[in-house]
Amino acid sequence: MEITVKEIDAPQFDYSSEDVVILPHNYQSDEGYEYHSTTISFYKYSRDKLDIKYFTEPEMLVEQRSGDWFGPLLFISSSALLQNPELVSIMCGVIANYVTDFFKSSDKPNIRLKVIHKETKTSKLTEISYEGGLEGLDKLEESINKVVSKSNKDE
Amino acid sequence: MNEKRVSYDEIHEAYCEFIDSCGKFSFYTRSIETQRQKVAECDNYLVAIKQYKSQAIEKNNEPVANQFFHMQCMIHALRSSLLMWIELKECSFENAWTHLVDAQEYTAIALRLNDYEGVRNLEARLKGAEQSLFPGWKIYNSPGFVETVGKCSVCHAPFSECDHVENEIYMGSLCQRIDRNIVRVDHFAFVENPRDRRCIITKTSDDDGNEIDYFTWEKTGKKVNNEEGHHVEGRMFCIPTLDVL
Repeated sequence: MEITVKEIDAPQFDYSSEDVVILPHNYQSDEGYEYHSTTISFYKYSRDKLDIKYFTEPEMLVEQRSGDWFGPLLFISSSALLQNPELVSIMCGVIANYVTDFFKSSDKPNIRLKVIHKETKTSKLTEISYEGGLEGLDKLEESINKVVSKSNKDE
Repeated sequence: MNEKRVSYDEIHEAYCEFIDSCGKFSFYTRSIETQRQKVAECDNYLVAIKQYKSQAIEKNNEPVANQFFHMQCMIHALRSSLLMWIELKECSFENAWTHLVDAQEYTAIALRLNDYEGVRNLEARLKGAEQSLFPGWKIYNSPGFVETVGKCSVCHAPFSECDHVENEIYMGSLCQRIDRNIVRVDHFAFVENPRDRRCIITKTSDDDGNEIDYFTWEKTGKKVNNEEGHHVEGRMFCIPTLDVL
């Protein structure tokens, strides 16, 4: 399992939402958005369990023919977490359940997933990348919470 | 003319007997002729099972439609397994590999509905066949491309507009995105764990530039340019052909 955290300065991406938002992988572009191919099914599965929406309606999908599960790029702003402090925990639970259901009866895949956190009052984004099995998703949750509490302290 | 009514239990009992009979022909020493005969029987049986499934769908009976879908996948798995042995004995190794992967995928889909000893035994037999017939098969092709969203295989609506989720089973069929158009190929990669294990390497080359068949390790008679590294030829993408509707 591997978790990497990096900061991205993206002044042009001034966006906030009180929901979890599925971003296109090229969200810093102005047009031609492309989403991971898992996006639509994940959205349909999770919309009753989680406050989630698309950044834009997906029209083009990036299909990776690897056995790894490339999850959608998920965005959480600090204002969303103010509204619902349990959001990260719910989101990680939904991801775990979705992957379990999707790969029911098969070997559980390696998960590759990125979560972007934005401190609402700044242009700084933090990207948390996860690669590993289902069992490591609680560590992803911990890492996101660490990033969030650090952002809150820096504020 | 009186039509004979058959109960689900009777259909299931006959199906179990048929499945057992297929297993008796699914190994190397059975003759190609008897294996072909069994494949033909599977084809006929699939027609019958799909008719029963249609009746369940007409009655809006999803649990029974799904049970017939399970039977459909199991018969397909055994049919693909028989075809694998036939192709092996005819030295069509690429096709044998494809039938093995088909059999494994049908078994995995069948397991989504019912998990019991018989399916797990078939799964283990197929894994055993893979390990003994194609040992050390480690590199596969994994392309990445940009594509349109497509339609839902269950309801045929644009996939963004319906509620169906990929890989779930609805009223006796597996939900998939269909009618997708590839608009750009992004990359090709060699991976150990591909989405589609049919995407294999089929040819390579030796140090002297002789093209080598990856299955038989025989020279094909063709000379290739090795100046920029070893020549590799393979299947980059296979159009899905599993009968899961």
